[in-house]
Order: sequence, then C-alpha cells, then structure tokens
Amino acid sequence: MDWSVWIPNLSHAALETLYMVGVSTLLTVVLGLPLGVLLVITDRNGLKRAPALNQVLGAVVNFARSLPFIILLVVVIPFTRFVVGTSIGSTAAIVPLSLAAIPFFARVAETGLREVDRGLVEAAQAMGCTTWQIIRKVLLPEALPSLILGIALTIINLIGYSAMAGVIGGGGLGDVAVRYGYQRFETAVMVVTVVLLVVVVQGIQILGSKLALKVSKR
Amino acid sequence: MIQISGLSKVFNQSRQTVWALDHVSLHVAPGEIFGVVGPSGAGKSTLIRCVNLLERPTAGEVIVNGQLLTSLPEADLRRARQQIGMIFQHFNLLSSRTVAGNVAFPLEITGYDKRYRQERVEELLDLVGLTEKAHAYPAQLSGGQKQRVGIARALATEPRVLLSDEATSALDPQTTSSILSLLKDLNRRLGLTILLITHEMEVVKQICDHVAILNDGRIVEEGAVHDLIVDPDSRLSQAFFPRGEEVIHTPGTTSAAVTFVGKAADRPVLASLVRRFDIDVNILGGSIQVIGGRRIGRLQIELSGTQVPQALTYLRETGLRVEVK
Ligand SMILES: Nc1ncnc2c1ncn2[C@@H]1O[C@H](COP(=O)(O)OP(=O)(O)OP(=O)(O)O)[C@@H](O)[C@H]1O
Ligand SMILES: [Mg+2]
Repeated sequence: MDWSVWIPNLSHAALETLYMVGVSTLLTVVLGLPLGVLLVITDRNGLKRAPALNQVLGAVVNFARSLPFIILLVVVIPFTRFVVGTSIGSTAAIVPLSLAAIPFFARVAETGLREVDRGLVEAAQAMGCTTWQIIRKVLLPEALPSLILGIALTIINLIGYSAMAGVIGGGGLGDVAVRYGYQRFETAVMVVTVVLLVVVVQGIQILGSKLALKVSKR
Repeated sequence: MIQISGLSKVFNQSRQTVWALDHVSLHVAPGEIFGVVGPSGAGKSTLIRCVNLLERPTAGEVIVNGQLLTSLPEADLRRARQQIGMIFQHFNLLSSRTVAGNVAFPLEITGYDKRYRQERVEELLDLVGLTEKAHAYPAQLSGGQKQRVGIARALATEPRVLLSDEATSALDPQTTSSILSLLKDLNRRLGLTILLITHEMEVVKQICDHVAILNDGRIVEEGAVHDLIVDPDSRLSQAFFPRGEEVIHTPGTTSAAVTFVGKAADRPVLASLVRRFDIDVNILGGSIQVIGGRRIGRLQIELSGTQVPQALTYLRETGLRVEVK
C-alpha cells in the first residue's frame, strides 16, 4: 500500500465525482424544476389546466423513473454520443446521470410545490398576479425549503448513480472502490473510498437540512 | 360601487348539482359597509369569490367600479383586480416574506418602483399600527396582527373596494372587535366600500350599514341594518332579540313587543305609562343592544287594566314600535 500513489489517485477520482455530480445537479435543477412546475400548473386544479400535456409529462417521468440506472446508462449511449461527441468518460457520464435525476427531481419539486397553501395562490390571483408572477413570487419562494431538501436528496442519489459510471469509463470514487477495492482486494482503498463517500453524503444531508431550516420562516 | 345581478353559480359534483348561488342580486353603494350573513353552506364564500371572479359565475353580471368584470378579457380582469382589495379568514400571508415584504407584494405586481414601495409600506404599516413589526415574519405574529398585515396589503394599491371573507372568524372576540374598529375607521377615513361576509351577528352589529341574509344560495332578506332591526318580524331583529319560548299568556291581559330606538331607549317610558293610565304592566323579558352605534331595546310586556288601548296609542306616539300579539 503506497499512499504517495494513492493520495493523488483518490483525489483525482474525487474530482471526477465532483465534476460529474456537480454538473449533473446543475442540469437537473435547471431542467427538472421547470418540469416540476409544469406538472403542477397543468394539473386538473392547476393554474394553467392542460390535462393532456399533464398526462403525457407524467407518463414520461414515470417511465424514466422506472428504468434501473444501469440500464439507462447503456440505453442512452447513442444519445450521449450525439450530445457530447463521445460515449465514454466523465463528461459522457453526465448525460445519463442527468437523465436519471431530472424526472426524480421533477417529482420531488412537484410535491414541494403542491404543499404551498392554495390560499396563497388565491390571494395572489385576487391581487391580479399573472401565472408567471404566481410561480416566481409565490410558489417557488414558498416551496424553497422543500426544494433545497429535494436538491440535497438529488445530489445524494447522483453520488450513488455515479458509482456506476465506471461502466462507461466515467471514473470517480465509486469506480475506484469497485475496481481496486473489490476486484483487486485492496481493502484499505475500499475502506477509504467508502468512508469518503459516507462523509460526503452525510455532509450534504446535514448541509441541506440546515439550509432548508434557515430559509424556512414558518 | 358593486352591482351584482342575477348571479348564479352551479357546482356539478359527481352525482348531484349544487346551486351554491341562485339568482342573487344586490347593490353595494359607495362608502357603505355591506354584510352578507347566513348559515354554513349558504353560499357566502362563493358569492364573495364571484365578485372578483376567483370563481366564474354560471350566470349573471358583476359590476365593480363601473366595470363589467364578467365580460373582461383576462389581462383587463387582472388590472381590475388590482383595484379590489381582499382579506381572508386565514390571512394568506406569504410565510417567506417579512411583514413589509407582504405589504409590498401587490405594489411589486402593479409595477411601482422601489422608492415608492418603501414609502407606501411605511405609510400602510403606520395605518394599521404595525410599524415596529415591519421586519418580522408572519409566523412571529398573532392572529390579529396577521390580519392587520392582510388589511395593509389589501389597501396597498389604494383600492376603493375591500372584500372580506370571514376576516375575523379565526380571531378571539377582543381581537375581532379591534379589527372591526380598524375596518370601520378605514371605511370612514378613506371612504372605502366594504363587502364582508360573516356568520357572526356580532360583526353586523358592530359595523354594517346594510345587510343581506343568504340562505341556500338565495337572499332571503336585505336592507339597511337600522330599518331591519326595528322591524320585529325581520330575521335580523329576531336574531338579535330571539322571541324565546312562547310565554304563557295570562288571560285578560294584552301582550306586546315594544322596540326602543335611540333616545327612547334612555327614557323611562314605562314608568310614565303606569302613572298616566289606569293599567298594570308586567315585564316578561327584554334586552338592550348597541347596534351600529345606536342603542336598541326590545321589551316583551303584558298590559292589563281599563286603559290598555290608550296606553298602546301613547307608546306609539312617543315613537316606539309596538307589536300586539
Ligand atoms: N368548489 C366547489 N365544488 C363543489 N361544491 C362547492 C364548491 N365550493 C362550494 N361548494 C358548495 O356550494 C355551497 C356553498 O358553499 P360556500 O363555501 O359558498 O358556503 P359558505 O356560506 O361560505 O359556508 P361556510 O360558512 O361554511 O364557509 C355548499 O353546498 C358547498 O358544498
Ligand atoms: Mg365560507
């Protein structure tokens, strides 16, 4: 066990995880949040009723969520190649990671947005708000604590998924644990990566809860 | 100021259709406080929600500030709503905004600049007596304080009309009283027209000029509070002066309900009655209430003796309402 080799190796893997999870999280929030909002407002009792669209979106989200990640990873390879030009490496892994997390986060966001008191929406309508103003000034700020918790949950999921990214050469901490720790019996490496992952996941959970509590003025 | 004509609202539930409002018409004059009372399920909330079209009426017209709201396209309707304030039973304040932020909300929607908003918020918080709570969050306020914020928010864009949906129903009697005084004060000072719905007779008693009683989606009684209250047959006066159980009628006597209004309530009318005429008076029951700032009393009496008809005429001549049974 030569730590002078392992420390750079591990930090490189950690950076890969950070990169994959970070960019995927960003994409997930940017695309999943509007999807969640759409799911809420196109609903039967929503601000912009569109039952057909609502059902289609709901079906797509459910389909994507029912797909095991390891399968999704392989199925979307052609799409990945089309988007990033290659189907292997950390950047390529971002595509399936985001595709898996977007529908998940959309549902989490939907739930949070639905929890906003209907009375608030009604008061805003009575004041003459447009639908867009209601989304931006009522629904999103009021749901912010749940959205933050949802983002933390999404990041934790993405870290879990990213361990499988090794399949398409994405690298990262999970990949190190599997390749060295499991396949080559480097128990120490396994332990270190697992501890690192646990610490990071715990940290994100705690941070998310703290932040959610801080922005919640209820 | 508010003209409602032939308003109907039908809800189609799974198997039955509910006529929440059945051809309701009413007129709220400028500067008036108009109360709509009625039992639970009468359609009160539906009625007030139809006034700013939160609920689309099935039939009928709503005119507010001279605008036929029921025919406005959506963008114009939004602009019209900015000129109609509304307060709610559960306040409906944004928990993520401070008191000042909540009051500023309608001003942001209307597009006022930041400097004006700040000035106006200060003014409004002063108006409702919450200046020192400007930076508190709704969760840190009492119910009464929350409703004051609701009122400040509703008045931010200087509407001429305020709609109030059970605004005091979640408050204790003392707080209710202070909110009602505030509303009355705003009504007087700003000439604000208020349409309020309530199931509390107390509210009608304290601040309403005009009242409509809604039952099963229909208006069953409507009029000026002081006219209805002196009419012993009106539902309103019966609500304030319940007849109670029928008193056993003593043979050979005449029983009468006497309503005292204003100054008459302070004069010792009965004493002089007994002195002037050859009669006996037996008081069976009665009460005095202050309604709309006026003292109104109702006495249930029994008269016997030789001069009963003269005595009754005398009572009527002194300006009292006398109902003989
Ligand atoms: N969205 C709705 N869908 C179906 N029925 C409704 C709806 N809203 C109200 N109703 C029905 O319309 C009738 C009138 O309801 P409304 O809420 O206006 O009564 P209310 O006088 O405000 O009663 P409360 O004093 O209990 O608030 C009731 O029978 C109610 O069940
Ligand atoms: Mg109601």
